[in-house]
Amino acid sequence: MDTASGTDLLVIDELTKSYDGVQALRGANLVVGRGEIHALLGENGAGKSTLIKTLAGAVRPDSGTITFDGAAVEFGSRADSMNRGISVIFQHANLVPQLTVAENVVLGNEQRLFGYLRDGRQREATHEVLARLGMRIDLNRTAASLRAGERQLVEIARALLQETKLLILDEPTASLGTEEVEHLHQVLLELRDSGIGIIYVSHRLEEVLSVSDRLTVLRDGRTVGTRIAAETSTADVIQLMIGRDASHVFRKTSDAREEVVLRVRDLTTPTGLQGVGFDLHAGEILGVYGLLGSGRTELARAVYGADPIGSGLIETPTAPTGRKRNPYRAARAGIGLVPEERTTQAMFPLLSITDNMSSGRPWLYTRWGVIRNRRRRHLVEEMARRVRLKAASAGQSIAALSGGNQQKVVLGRWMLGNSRLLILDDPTVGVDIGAKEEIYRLISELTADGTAVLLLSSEVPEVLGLSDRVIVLFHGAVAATYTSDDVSEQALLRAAHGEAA
Amino acid sequence: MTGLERTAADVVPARRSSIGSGLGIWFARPTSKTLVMNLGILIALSVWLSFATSQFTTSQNITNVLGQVSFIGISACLVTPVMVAGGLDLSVGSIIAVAGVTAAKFVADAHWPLGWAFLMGALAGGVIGALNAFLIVGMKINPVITTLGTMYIGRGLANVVAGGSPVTGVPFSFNDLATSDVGPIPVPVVIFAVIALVMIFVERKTILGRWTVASGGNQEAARLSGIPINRTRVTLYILSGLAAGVAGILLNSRIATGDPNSGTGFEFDVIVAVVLGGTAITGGQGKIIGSIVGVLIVGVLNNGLNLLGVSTFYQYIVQGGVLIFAVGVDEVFRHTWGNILRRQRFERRSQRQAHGSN
Ligand SMILES: Nc1ncnc2c1ncn2[C@@H]1O[C@H](COP(=O)(O)OP(=O)(O)OP(=O)(O)O)[C@@H](O)[C@H]1O
Ligand SMILES: [Mg+2]
Repeated sequence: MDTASGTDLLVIDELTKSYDGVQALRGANLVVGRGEIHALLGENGAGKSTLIKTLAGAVRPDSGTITFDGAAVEFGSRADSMNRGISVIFQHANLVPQLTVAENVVLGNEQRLFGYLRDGRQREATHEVLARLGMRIDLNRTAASLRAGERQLVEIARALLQETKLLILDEPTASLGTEEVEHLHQVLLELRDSGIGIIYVSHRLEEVLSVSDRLTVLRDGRTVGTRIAAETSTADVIQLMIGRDASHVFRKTSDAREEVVLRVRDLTTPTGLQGVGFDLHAGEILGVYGLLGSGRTELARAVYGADPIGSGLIETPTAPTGRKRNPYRAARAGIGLVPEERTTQAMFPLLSITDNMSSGRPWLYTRWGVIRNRRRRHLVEEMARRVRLKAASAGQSIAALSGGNQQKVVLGRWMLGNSRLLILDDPTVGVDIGAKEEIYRLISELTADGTAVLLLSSEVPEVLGLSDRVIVLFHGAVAATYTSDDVSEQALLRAAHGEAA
Repeated sequence: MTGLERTAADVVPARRSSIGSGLGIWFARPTSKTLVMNLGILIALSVWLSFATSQFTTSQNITNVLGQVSFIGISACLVTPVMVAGGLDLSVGSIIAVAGVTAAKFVADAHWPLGWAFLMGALAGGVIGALNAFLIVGMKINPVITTLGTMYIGRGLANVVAGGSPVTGVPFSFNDLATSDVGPIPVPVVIFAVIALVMIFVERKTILGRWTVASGGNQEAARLSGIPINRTRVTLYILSGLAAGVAGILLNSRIATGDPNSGTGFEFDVIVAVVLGGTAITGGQGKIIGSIVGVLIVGVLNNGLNLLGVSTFYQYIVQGGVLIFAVGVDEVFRHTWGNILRRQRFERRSQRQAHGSN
């Protein structure tokens, strides 16, 4: 127990925590040094977020000790932990969308003079910190108008203003593009060199290994090992995480058929698409790659009928075209959308897993609008098994699931029943490597049955490994089209940056 | 037992029995906690009143209480889903008057048969509901503003049509609907029970019920998962208008005429009962059974205060106090108390550990 010497910033010893009967942590250990980037890894539901929440003072552990900065500590509240110098950037963005960047950065830390905000000096400080992060943005923009990557940096800026000793990031890159990830890593390395300890949670193993010094793996709430990152391969990590080997079993053969399921022509939208056109065949997977802001999500939403289109044509044999398109009609016609943002666009946080998963295809289990409960439960439980959902029961609230398991519920929603067309916008965000494999297998099964898949992704390996063809978007227009045989990662990235192929 | 639990067991061993976890899950829902607490309040209140007054437990008084709450109850059964879907309906009180006056006018001036006149009254409620739906869903005007507006419009219309005072020339049989019984039970109570049962069925067993909670819980997610949120809300507002119309003809039948000032303040009684019953004002959460218990609490309380000879003015104060108290206690119970319990448990454990390691 005397490991808490001067060099270690944080020592967590045998932490346990259960949420009404669900044992989330059963003996977690973690030692983080000063000036170290420490990766925290594990499957969905392994307990990573729970561990972090105890450090943030958001969750009280049942037993175990935390030693921080040389002293035994117990965090009664968020403020407790912040005052000691721990800053957390949670899995789900934490800025107040209506407030400006400047207001968000100083939130909870406002300097007051008899109740008046002295924001002049704080704005200066904010400016300085943002400049240090290499970020030039207008402080008066609202958080809602920021991109995911910018939001992340604003949160880090907030942490820096508070003289942080330990910075914790829970899946910070989940929705970031390659370039933004690199920038973030650069920032983290600089912070590390200034002596800050960093805990970094991610499911993108290559990425996290490249930036961290050491890593700790959790499995079922227990620490199963700590390794030096430079001496560890992803395969080793996977072995530690899930106790077996896993490689992305990407599909090899194409299931594409003659029949065209989706025909897009000259699509221009108020949301920024400019003259996009392509065909998607039954059984085919069409990958769409592009940097953030290139129009990926906008394309997904337009095809689904979620946003109005300006001009051009979106044609599917079963759903109406033009103004008559809307998500309801699309869903009826066998089209499904897994949207980009799970918490705001896909989840019903107050409802059960069953309700969440069965919301997309009610005709599978209703007669005259009356729910046939046994049938519905059967469908949901079957799907839960197929996506390897980790949950206590199907009646459990979806809010109590770990992030990756929530994503599996949303995916399962559209895998119930037969789809003609699935639009998957970053479908494996936050999903662990074992489950990813499973999901890729499910997607392949679907295409074998003739389902067409429009796969929009920020992960290059996913796009390359799964797609029959890939289109690259740049500034809302198609910059390049590849078939799976003649595409390389370099070519994809170049096209995504607008460099001619 | 089920497939899902088997999957879970693969990954997380040592799970509790399925019945235990089922009950646990039921009780973990905030609406269930509120329901249990409110049932406790209702029972305690009734027991206390049965000792404090001699009349409370007489069958006549119980019938009387049920009769009085049935109007609010009928409306609450539909205002609940409106609120769960993230909306609000403040026009129900004015619909009471519109429905009553419409029915009375059809009988007195147009000499329609009673049954048809009542039907027209209820339908008039449905028309105002449809107007609400058009403005809120079609024109996208805020529900509070819209129904506040239609509340005034409805009240004004009823007064214009009735000429500012109760409709005259209504045959005495207008009174029969509300005062006759089915067996030992008054007609309004029967209608309340039927509507309550149907709506609980709709809430729990039909896709409309699922669509309702989903659209209130996360509207964007509901839209993107292909739920027809507009159609859902239109249906609910129209049904709410119809239900208030039914309550309106019953209430006006009881006073044997169409009174343009009937149902004043009714909307707030309904909302008090619904909120007391655990429905979130922000939508996404709430149960009809909870609202029914809320309606009963309010009814029993008022009846008790009457029996105890407390004046109406004090009744207002008590009713307001009870609302704040019940909702407040609920909040405290959910947050603070839970935190305190957890903190104590934690401290006890860490003390034990400290002793153990010494
Ligand atoms: N509020 C809660 N109520 C009940 N159970 C919960 C709650 N929060 C988390 N859990 C459970 O605790 C376990 C650990 O969850 P946690 O969020 O820590 O996982 P994680 O490692 O962060 O996973 P992911 O990679 O998917 O984000 C899971 O089984 C989850 O279902
Ligand atoms: Mg997590």
